[in-house]
Amino acid sequence: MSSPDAEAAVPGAPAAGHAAAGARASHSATSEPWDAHAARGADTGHAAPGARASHSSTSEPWDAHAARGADTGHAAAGARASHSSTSEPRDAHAARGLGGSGAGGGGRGVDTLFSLPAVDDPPMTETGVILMGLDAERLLTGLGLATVTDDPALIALSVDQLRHGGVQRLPAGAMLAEGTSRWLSAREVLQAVGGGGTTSGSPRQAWANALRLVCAADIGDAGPATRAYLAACWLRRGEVDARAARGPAEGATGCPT
Amino acid sequence: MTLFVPGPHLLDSPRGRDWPAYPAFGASHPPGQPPGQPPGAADVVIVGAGPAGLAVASALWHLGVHDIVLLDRASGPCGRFLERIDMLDQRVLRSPYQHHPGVEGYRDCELLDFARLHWVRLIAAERHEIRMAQAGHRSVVPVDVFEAYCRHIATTHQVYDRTWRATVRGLSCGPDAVTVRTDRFELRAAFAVLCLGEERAPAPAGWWPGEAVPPGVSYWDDPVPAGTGSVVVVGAGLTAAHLLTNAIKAGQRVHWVLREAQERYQCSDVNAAFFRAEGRACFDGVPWADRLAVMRRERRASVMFEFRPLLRAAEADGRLTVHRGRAVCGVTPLAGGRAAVRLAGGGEVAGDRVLLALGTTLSTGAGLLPDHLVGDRDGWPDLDERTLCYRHAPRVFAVGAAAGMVLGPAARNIDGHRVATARVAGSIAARLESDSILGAVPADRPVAHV
Repeated sequence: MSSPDAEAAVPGAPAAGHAAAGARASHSATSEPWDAHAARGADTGHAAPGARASHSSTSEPWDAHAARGADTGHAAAGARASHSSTSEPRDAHAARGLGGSGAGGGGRGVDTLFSLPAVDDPPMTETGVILMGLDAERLLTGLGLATVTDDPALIALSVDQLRHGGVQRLPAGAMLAEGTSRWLSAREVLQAVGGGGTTSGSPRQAWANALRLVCAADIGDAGPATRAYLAACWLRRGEVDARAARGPAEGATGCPT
Repeated sequence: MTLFVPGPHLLDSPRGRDWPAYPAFGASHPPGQPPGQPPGAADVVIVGAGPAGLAVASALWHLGVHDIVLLDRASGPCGRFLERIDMLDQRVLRSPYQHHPGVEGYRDCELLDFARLHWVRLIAAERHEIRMAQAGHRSVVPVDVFEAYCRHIATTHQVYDRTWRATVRGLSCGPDAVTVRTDRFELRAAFAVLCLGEERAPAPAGWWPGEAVPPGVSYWDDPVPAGTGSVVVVGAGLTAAHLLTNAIKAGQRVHWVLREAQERYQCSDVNAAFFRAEGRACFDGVPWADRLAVMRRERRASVMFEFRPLLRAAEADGRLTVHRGRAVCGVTPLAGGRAAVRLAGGGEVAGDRVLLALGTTLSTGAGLLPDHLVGDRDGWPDLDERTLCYRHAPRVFAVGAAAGMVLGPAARNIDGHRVATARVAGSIAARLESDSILGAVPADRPVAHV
């Protein structure tokens, strides 16, 4: 099973922020739904460029499929190589250089095998790698909604519902304002604790690091949802800061109904 | 070539999990159907609130078309679909995660991500299937997850507020509107979308005298009396496989009558190519006769691979007897409420109950629309290939199996719904923009970017 350490050991892995940006570039070109796709691309640390290469070489109808392929560990090309050789002995596999040269495969002493992320990882990790791919406005709205409920996964879906309108009790704009306020309050504390720490190329490891940072910070009585959304905001702090600076009134915070 | 033979454990996803209520709605979620009757007029009426109707409503929402009424004979979005699935105790869908990418082109949460967000509620086998999907493999979807996802999508696009229970009796098509007549009310709409799905195929005439189903014989969606000791299942598809499996697990003595020489196991019910563009290309602008030939070849009953180990084991140890290559020519009631299947070429197979799972017939719109508007051709409606509207009733559209001769055999599947929905919703939104006949469409109709 893949562990954060194993993911981090892959040479050439770009920083998570770069991976996410690549995935979003793919999104803008293909009208990918939901920003969670960005997280999928980023889920591996290797992301979209490889995925697009896979797309063009396999006539897949949508980049979405390629991006999903990339979700497994080392981009789609590596994933396919693995598919075709999963029953081969480890040595034979390595000797043929299968497993994705883009990930540094084939080199002496480099383990080019990979496995899918574990199925018994904490549920928060699975949620986290999705949250860290959401756009800044969704994250801030979710941080606001974390004052209402303490389940980060449920919040992610509720933000979707709020942004579609029709929920009079919890208007998206108000939740965005609340979340922006909470982010601005926590931002300096997180900065003081986290400083300019390095970012892991593994999204799962990056998530674990960010969550640890939030837990170590003195941000008052924060439940799991608040901590999760602060961790995701911290990982995407450049965009989140920019969105917070614009204020909740600017831009679309929901949809016409 | 990699051979992937999934195990029967994948069929055993739990049903009826305690899904959390969304904080915005509290414990009342999902809401019931709105009281009373729908408004007398709407931009769009969607007939059928199954998965296809839900997809159409959601896509129209994103195109700024919110004046929608959904009509369904059952309770709520996807209600009948799920009722029938539960009747079979079916726990997973055949359409894999890859075929459920949500509303085309928008940022709504997809089924796969929805499942991941509920990681804590999934069993290990279900989590493993998600990893398979992420790796690009075929992977089965729990019905329980699908139902919860449908609730989320219906809530997100305010479909509950727009769905009324009604049985549609007919549509009258005018030059500028469609009138939909139901058992309870009439309403007028600029456009109607028929998401009718499929009905169970009846037994051929002559299998028994008269129209009434004889004692001892049931269709798959009829209740089976308690205390049934032996069953004879007729059919070669997934429904038959569920009937067989349920009977074997219940300790019943089981006979399976197959017309084909061999049962057929397949991941999807049609070849995977038909879920991609190259498969649809077999139908796009292709001569009608060629399409018919592909349809006849591809629309064959098959069973998911997951059933194979159990059925083979049951056959090996005598719990199941498979009568291969035996066409059925009739059913005979026997004393004591039992029945026997008569086989072509002689012979009978008797049991306490004969269960018929003979496939489905698509709803073309016949019976709702006048025959000349349906334009039936070899059992298929005459649809415009670009927009999926009826060529002779351009304000009425079809999504689902009825679009098969345009989109190929996958039209009946989730993936086909998505492709059809994109065409239909886009066409309706564009026509509403330019349609001033009802005078109800603002020129600056907002289009949602969520």
